[in-house]
Amino acid sequence: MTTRTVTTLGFVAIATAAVVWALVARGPRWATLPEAWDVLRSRRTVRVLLVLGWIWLGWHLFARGSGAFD
Amino acid sequence: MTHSHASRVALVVPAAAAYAWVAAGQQPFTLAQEMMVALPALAVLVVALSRPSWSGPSWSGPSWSGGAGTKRGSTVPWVVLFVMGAAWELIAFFASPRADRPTLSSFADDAMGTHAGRAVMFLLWLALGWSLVKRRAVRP
Repeated sequence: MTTRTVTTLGFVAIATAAVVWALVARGPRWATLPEAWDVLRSRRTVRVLLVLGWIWLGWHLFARGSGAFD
Repeated sequence: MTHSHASRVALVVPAAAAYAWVAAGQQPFTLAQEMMVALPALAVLVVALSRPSWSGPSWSGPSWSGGAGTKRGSTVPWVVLFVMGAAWELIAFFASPRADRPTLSSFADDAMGTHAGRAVMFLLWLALGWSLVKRRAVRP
């Protein structure tokens, strides 16, 4: 198994765990993903920082083009 | 979903998809593409600044209470998943060569090899921005 495969499988495993948890997390004990997202962005300062990160992401992916992270 | 909300979605989603399709056709490092990114970015930033903090949610403890005194579930598993993803991304980012250690942006680059792929990625970016400033979800 190559290093590339291991790295990719790591991302796949984490994404799969998130999808499974999104389907399983129900009821009063666990927050759903939208509820957890609401907690994160409930404070304006944190929300604005997240928006600035989102702008940076869009700028580098699209305004500066593919490969901007390399 | 209320009728007015459904009507808004029916208008906004095709408009966002069309915007993403046009944006995907622009070349990087051009004024046109910079404007296509800057316009929604500015709109989302203005909304994020204009909305006040919400009362209720707290980072302390395994659970938190909503604004109306309703009990909310623990966010710990989501925090753990996010930290795991961020750690894996950082490990890949600081390792080399990139061909052997792809990062999330490597996968994004692969996905953006076609016009349709770029349009989908742009639409996802718009959706992420909207999710940052939309009104909070309330558990019934």
